[in-house]
Amino acid sequence: MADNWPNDAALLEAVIEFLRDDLRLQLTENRLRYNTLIAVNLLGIVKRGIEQQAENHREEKDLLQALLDSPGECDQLNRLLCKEIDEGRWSTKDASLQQTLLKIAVKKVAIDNPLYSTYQQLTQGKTP
Amino acid sequence: MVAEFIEKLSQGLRDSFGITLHAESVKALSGGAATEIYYGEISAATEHHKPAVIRRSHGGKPFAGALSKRQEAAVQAAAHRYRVPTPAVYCDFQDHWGIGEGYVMEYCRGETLPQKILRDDQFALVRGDLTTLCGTTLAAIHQVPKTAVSMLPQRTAQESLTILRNIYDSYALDLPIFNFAFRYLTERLPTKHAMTLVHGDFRLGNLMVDTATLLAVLDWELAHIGDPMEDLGWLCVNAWRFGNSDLPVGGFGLREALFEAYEATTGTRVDPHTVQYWELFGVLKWGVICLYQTQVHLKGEERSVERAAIGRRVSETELDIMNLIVHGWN
Repeated sequence: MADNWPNDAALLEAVIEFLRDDLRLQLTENRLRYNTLIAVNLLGIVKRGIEQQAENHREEKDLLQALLDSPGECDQLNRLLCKEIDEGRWSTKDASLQQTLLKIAVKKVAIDNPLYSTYQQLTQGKTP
Repeated sequence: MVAEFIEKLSQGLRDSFGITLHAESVKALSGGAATEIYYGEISAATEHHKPAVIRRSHGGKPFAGALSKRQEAAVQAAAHRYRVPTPAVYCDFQDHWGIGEGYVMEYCRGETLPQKILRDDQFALVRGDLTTLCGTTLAAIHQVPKTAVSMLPQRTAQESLTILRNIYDSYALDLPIFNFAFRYLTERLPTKHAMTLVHGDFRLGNLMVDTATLLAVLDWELAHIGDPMEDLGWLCVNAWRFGNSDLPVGGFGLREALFEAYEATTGTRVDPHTVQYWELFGVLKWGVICLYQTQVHLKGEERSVERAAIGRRVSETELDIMNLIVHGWN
């Protein structure tokens, strides 16, 4: 069955536009204007999440399963990795561990704040 | 409620100190999560309608290790006495006033908004001097005698790391990058280090400037006695560069200039590797602070859209941790 129409991302976009381009400009209190911008930002995060979260999740699972040589879902894999790191089973110099963690972090920030300076540097081929 | 606070404050100031608070002049300024800040004019024996600032404990739950307002006033007063640029403290709230903890301090006129200081043309000159000014100011802070700030908690590098780890553990979240960072830092703990007054949150947002100079260091809530290099590292944390990643010191300067000014004032050498340690510690600490604020919201202690949003800044700190470790410090 097809998604409800317009889809979730489109609804979020409509709310973003209303808050950012209409309501916010009518507000006089600084605190309310500021919080409205935060609300707009959060809706943008949710929208990007709808678009990217499923693939991020898949990738994270694949990366962690490969790193840990273990099956399982992300929650279990993250818990296992934390435990192994705490138990000293990984050298902090381990390249595969470093690269896995770096890749996962990049994908998370792609949703949470793609304008973040470090994310911009790393994804535009600039020297960090 | 604010009117009641002002009335009780007026009465207290008059009865305990002979200070008149001009109630009609009082207005709320923006505060932090734990502090309410007001502007108000006061009169005493020889001075009339002197502008002042009132800092009051919000009553909310402070981040672990944050000072009480009484301790905060005491450390600020001590720093002022030892010529750190920071507002003079006039008096503390007394317990019997019934308005909780707080203090009245000097009003300073200047700019504190990081975006303005970093981008407005009028601050171009002071931006050029700011790295040096921060170096000398941090040196002054670190040279305040420990005897003058004995009310503060003492934390070695090891203790600070353990305390931070305990806070992270209390949230029972599985963030491998945080666990990785804790291990990495444990392997590189500064073992022998000085123990001095540490500001604990020295960065734009807590620094007041005018077009010519650094006017005041604000917000002593996280002050403690510890490794002074912690303050230099914190100032280089990427979050506090406010987008100017290429300028590691606060988004306005280079490490060499900061260290040079600091060394010239203290007569001690700064080990860049130690500052790198404290910068990584600072990134991790900011990440844990973000977890803390988010949990305050999620647990229903103090709900706000701002706190919910901070949860999505944790990933920025995770990225900065991995970027530092994999690609090195710039």
